[in-house]
Amino acid sequence: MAAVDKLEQGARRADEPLKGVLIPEHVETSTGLDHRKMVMWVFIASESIFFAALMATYLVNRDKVSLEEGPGHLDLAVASFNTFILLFSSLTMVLALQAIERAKKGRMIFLLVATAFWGLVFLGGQAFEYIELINNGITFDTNVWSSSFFALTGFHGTHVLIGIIWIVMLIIRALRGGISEHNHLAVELGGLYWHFVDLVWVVLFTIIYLI
Amino acid sequence: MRLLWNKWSRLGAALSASLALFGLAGCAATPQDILSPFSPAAQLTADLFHLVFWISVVIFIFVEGMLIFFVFRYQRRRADEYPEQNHGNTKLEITWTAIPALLLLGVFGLTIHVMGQVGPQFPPGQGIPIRVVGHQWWWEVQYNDGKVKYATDIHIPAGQVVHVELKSDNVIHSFWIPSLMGKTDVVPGYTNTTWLYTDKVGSYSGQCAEFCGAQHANMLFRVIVQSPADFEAWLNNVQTPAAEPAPNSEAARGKEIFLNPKTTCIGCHAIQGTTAVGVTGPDLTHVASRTCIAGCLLEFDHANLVKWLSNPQAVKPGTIMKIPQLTPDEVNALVAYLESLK
Amino acid sequence: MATNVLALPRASQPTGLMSWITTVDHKRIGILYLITAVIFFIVGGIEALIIRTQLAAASNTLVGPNLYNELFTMHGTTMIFLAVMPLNSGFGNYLVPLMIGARDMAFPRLNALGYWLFLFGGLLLYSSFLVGGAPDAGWFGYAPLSERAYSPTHGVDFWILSLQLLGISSIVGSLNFIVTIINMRAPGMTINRLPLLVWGTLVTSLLVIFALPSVSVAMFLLLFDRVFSTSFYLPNNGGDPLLWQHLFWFFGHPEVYIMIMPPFGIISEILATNSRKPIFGYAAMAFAFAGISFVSFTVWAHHMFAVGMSPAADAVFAGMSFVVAVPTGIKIFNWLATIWRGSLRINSAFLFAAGFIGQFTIGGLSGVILAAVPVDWQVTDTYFVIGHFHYTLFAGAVLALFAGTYYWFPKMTGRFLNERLGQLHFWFTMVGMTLVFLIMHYVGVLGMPRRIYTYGAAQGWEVWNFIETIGAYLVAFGVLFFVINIITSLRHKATATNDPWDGQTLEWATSSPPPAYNFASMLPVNSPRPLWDAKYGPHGEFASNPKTVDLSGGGTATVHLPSPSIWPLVLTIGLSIIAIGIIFGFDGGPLALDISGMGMALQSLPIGLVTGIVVFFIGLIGWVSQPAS
Repeated sequence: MAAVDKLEQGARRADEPLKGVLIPEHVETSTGLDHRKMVMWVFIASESIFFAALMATYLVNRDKVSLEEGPGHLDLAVASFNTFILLFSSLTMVLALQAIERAKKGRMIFLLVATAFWGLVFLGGQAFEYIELINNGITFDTNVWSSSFFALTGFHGTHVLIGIIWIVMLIIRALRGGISEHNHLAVELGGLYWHFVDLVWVVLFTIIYLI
Repeated sequence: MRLLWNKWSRLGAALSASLALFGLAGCAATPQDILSPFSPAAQLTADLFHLVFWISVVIFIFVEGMLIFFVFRYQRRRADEYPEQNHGNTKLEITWTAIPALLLLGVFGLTIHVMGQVGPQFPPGQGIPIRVVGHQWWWEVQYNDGKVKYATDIHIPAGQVVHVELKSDNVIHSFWIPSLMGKTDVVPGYTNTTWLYTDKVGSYSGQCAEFCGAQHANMLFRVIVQSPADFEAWLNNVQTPAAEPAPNSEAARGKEIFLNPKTTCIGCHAIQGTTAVGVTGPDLTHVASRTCIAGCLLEFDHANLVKWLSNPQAVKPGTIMKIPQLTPDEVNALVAYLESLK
Repeated sequence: MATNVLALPRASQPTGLMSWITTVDHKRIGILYLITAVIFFIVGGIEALIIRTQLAAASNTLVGPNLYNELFTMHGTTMIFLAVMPLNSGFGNYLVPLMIGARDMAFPRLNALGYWLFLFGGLLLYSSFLVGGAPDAGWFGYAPLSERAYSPTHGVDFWILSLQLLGISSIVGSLNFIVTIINMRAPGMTINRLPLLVWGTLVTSLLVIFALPSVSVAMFLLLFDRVFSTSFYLPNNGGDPLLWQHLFWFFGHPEVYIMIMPPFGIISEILATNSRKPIFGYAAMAFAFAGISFVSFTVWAHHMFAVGMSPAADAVFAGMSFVVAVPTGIKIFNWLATIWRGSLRINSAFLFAAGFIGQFTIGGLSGVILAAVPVDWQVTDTYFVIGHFHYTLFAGAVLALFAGTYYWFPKMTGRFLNERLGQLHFWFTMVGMTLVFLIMHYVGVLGMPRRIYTYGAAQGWEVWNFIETIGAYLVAFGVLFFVINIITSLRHKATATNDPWDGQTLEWATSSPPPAYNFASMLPVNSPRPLWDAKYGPHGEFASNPKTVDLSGGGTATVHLPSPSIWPLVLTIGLSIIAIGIIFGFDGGPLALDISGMGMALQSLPIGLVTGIVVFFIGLIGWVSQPAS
């Protein structure tokens, strides 16, 4: 075996090795899509499974308790209002992106502030819903319905909170001049995430309040 | 289908016998061997195993044969060898996709066929209902809808179907008697069912097969298959209240010790006809008719009873039976009492 | 060699230990993964040896039931999450950018974050031994046994939280692989020209992305049960123990393919190179990867045939499990066809790869036996299953990873591993593993359940267990030779050329070890083996007079290298503190600060959790404000 190795190395003649073509300083991505945008999409796919598993848990446990023990204390009006708010915040997010694409930075900042604000209002509505339940003696560990409800909406609320922090960071970055009409991918990414969290809520609203 | 199946299973059995001759399957039949079936269900399952096993062996020999042949045949002899650059061959690849797929389809068909005959969901007829309860770490068996509670020995009549209802109020266990029937898990919150049927009188060992905590290893039991007459006699006996020990005998003293709250026995155990009504541990009304104790870790005999009662934690570390240290004198009296509970 | 390459200066250039702590170089991160994973592999192996020693004799008392339960739980968790998965990540990290002709991963700092989360997740898991007990509910932690009522120590809490950290690590690693592979291929390297290791990594990453969130949710719910007294899995209060099993195995079955598919790729590379042939049936191999991964999402309940599902469900999951055997069979036959009429270089790497085919076949076949539902009812939860999955994970993944080490060690270090020790390692491993794992199948048929710490002599299992234990020690000796080989080889002179094995893929076209920027120039890519095409000509035109290739220097390339960053480590520390803060921060634990005197609704404050969140945000802000390159 060792002999084969030696022969092999000897068999290579001392030609000048082949060099190939020089790699340019800036390499285009293979798909033309920015890395960050692609990773965001894949991440959202992964998050979908996370929420799907939580929703499955909720659906399994939904009918195990009487209305009195939990679901009866939910407030459809508040939840509908919240759904509207969150959908509206998606609109302001879209408009913010549009604004910066049209080089209207001030307008974008205003719309981002509005989006974050609506996000906070949503969390306020969520808190109201929680307090209502807790005042009726229904807490996280009361029964499997309440546990599933708080887990599902709690994880979603956490995502909304992260979204708000994200938007605040975008605003700070914009104020420091880090975002312009030529460099606004960050806004697009934040928007993707925000719309996803929104969309999740629409599904949650449906399975918790409507069906 | 049926015919084909019989033919295959006979072939499988014959091949397995030859395997045994090679000493691979060696060793005398053990109590828990799935290839020593004592019931039609276990027999069919073993046949299916043999069949799939021998198909696997043929494929295995084929693959290994090619592998070893190629490794020897195609070793590099010269440093500048440039073998033919073969990128693939669609016909060949379709062949080795289709043949395994067809084989697997056949095995799948047989699987479904056997499932219909041995599945816990498909009892072969009406039968005697019993309930088996998994505890940490012993098996309880109930007859007559819970009126008779017994532990570790599951008596059933030969030649009759027995419907088994499986319950647990703690963790998941799995009910398994290899020579009679495959596993069914005992899941808290669910009532699973399975069945037992054999016409062969005997004692068959079983074991909890789902990890259930510290003493999972020693959660054993026996299925004692009796003739219907013997079974009736046994069942009649265990329905009676416990025997009363002779006055002033050692057993009578043992009964006093048993019922004394200081020894904590009655916290967990019941003996019908006395004030002991605990539910955590095995019902001991007819403990002396059992073949084994301590989750079937120990045979039922005098020495083992002494060993067990002297220090349960040493015999079965982690067992829920935590009792104050008894004096040898107390142990002897208790053992005498328990031995009287035929 | 790389004299003409002009690397742009970086903002900071730490040296020594700091250069490793702040590294974002995929090759260094790959090596960190590999070294750490090998250490955990040895620890998991020692646990296995203690288990085997305990079982060598009937009624043995070397370890008691509690320690035994901790040992097999830790052995399983370690080997899966701290050894095989990170070994795959290590090879992937090192090789994927090189194989696709990229200069780094798409997100170098995310890559570092993946490593640090792996390290800290592992340390968190093992720290449970120091604070009151390791997890003891088995690697699949079936509820309710893993609930607080039945496992009262903090072991399972540590298990849950360290697996959450490891889960994040796997997710960020996979996101990075997916984007890197899809977006950073050299010009001409279309998706049907990816080297098969890259294919395997891509498919594995997709599996991680879609499978892991399920177990992540399962574990959160278990954590809520344990810490906040909910009842997701407790039937007395409406919960359902089978919910755990479904959520767990929806992850758990794809997980076995997550562990085995990169090794499939490794084997494909080694067999092709050592045969001097292309992989036979490249397209079928690639489709088999995709097929296996797709079907793997539809077979999870074959782990649950005995839980009392409906016959229809049993039949469907059995059917899908048979289906998954077909693409696996395609792979085995295509590997055989790859070495058929090749020019085989028999060295340690090849031996392990060939050994892989021979042994993995057994794992595949015993898997088919298990998919026959009635047989499964008999042998599930026995040593038959243990034998089966060790034939897929040890004979499969671990043999392939050994093979990969012998194959790429010269590339990573510039040094060869010793052949004699390598072959000694191979034969000890082969004989040892056959004794352990083949006999396990037989002991399972004899009725020995898994996870029992002892058994009676009357069962007739003792002699077989004793032989298994001897086998386990033989394997351990093999690993010892392997470790000695690595340590002694590192002291030798660097003699490896760019292309010591006459390779086919791009990693062999640069120096050994490669420069920080990997490549200065690139070859045209017209097939899955661009280097081979360049050396021998696409149709073997230069076969009698092959060329040599060196892409590591030449010309004046301008190279951007990403700046080193400490922030991935800071983020990881933050997350680890959060984990510890959750374990000890509630129910009057040591990290629960009593603030009941302050007149607020909140009675106690989980200070660990709060501290962790603060550190996490410091890391996040640092990360965001540091320019990416």
